[in-house]
Amino acid sequence: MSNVTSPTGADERETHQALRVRFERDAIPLLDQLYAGALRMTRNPADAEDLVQETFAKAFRSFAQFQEGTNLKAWLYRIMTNTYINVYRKTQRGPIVSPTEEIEDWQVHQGSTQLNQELESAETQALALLPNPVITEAFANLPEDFRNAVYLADVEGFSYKEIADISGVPVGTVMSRLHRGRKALRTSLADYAREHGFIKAGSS
Amino acid sequence: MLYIFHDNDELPCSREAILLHLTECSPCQQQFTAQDSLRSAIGQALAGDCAPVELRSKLLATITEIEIEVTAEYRDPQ
Repeated sequence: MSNVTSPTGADERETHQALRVRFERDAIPLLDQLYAGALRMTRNPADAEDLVQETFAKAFRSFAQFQEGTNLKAWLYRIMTNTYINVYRKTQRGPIVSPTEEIEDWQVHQGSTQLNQELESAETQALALLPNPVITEAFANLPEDFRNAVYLADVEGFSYKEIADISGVPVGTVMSRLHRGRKALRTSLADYAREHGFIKAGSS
Repeated sequence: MLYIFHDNDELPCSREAILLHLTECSPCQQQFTAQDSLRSAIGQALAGDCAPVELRSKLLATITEIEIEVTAEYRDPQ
């Protein structure tokens, strides 16, 4: 809330110094996590670096507007997501998800017998043992909107509302993307697992 | 349903109802545990990329530049 028409420039400089101290104390430590997120978004270390630099520069310029006590990481992610969409999305690779994402998607009930459930649980446990490079590869091949939603939920632990704010979409869309993204990831991992003998072929 | 419960987000029924069910229903319990394992595995596989060392110093340099630029405006408003 800097007031440019203040009579003493010295006051404003001091306020800005305080702002900088607070930014270094609170925002800079989030660098590694924001970088990791940028890397998942851009899938390219050089672009990730550029994205992070732009994000932090923008964040610092508008840091006076950030409400202390609210979720700083979510705020930074929102700036980063907007920056990414405006700057990098023009040259994106990979499938784009159509905007017709209905909330009913996640509500589809899969009726399952007890046996199916037990088989599914065993399979899910097996997938958890797949090597990291396999998981990261499967994740990187997800459609972009699904990928970002799953990352924000399962790596960063943001709530649906926070993800909705960060991505600029309704909560219902977030839930739909999460459901479909997790399902697609699971299917992709299960295919790999079957092909490489981690689980028996012929299971659901 | 289990995923939303795990996500700690708003549920169509009470958390207690689900917790109670989980303590009584072994297949659902297994499913919950399995999903938890998979989610942890995904989280760990994807997290932990450290920013390159120079990036931090570049950022601090950028912030210094911005600070100089902004405080200069206070001295000589354009």
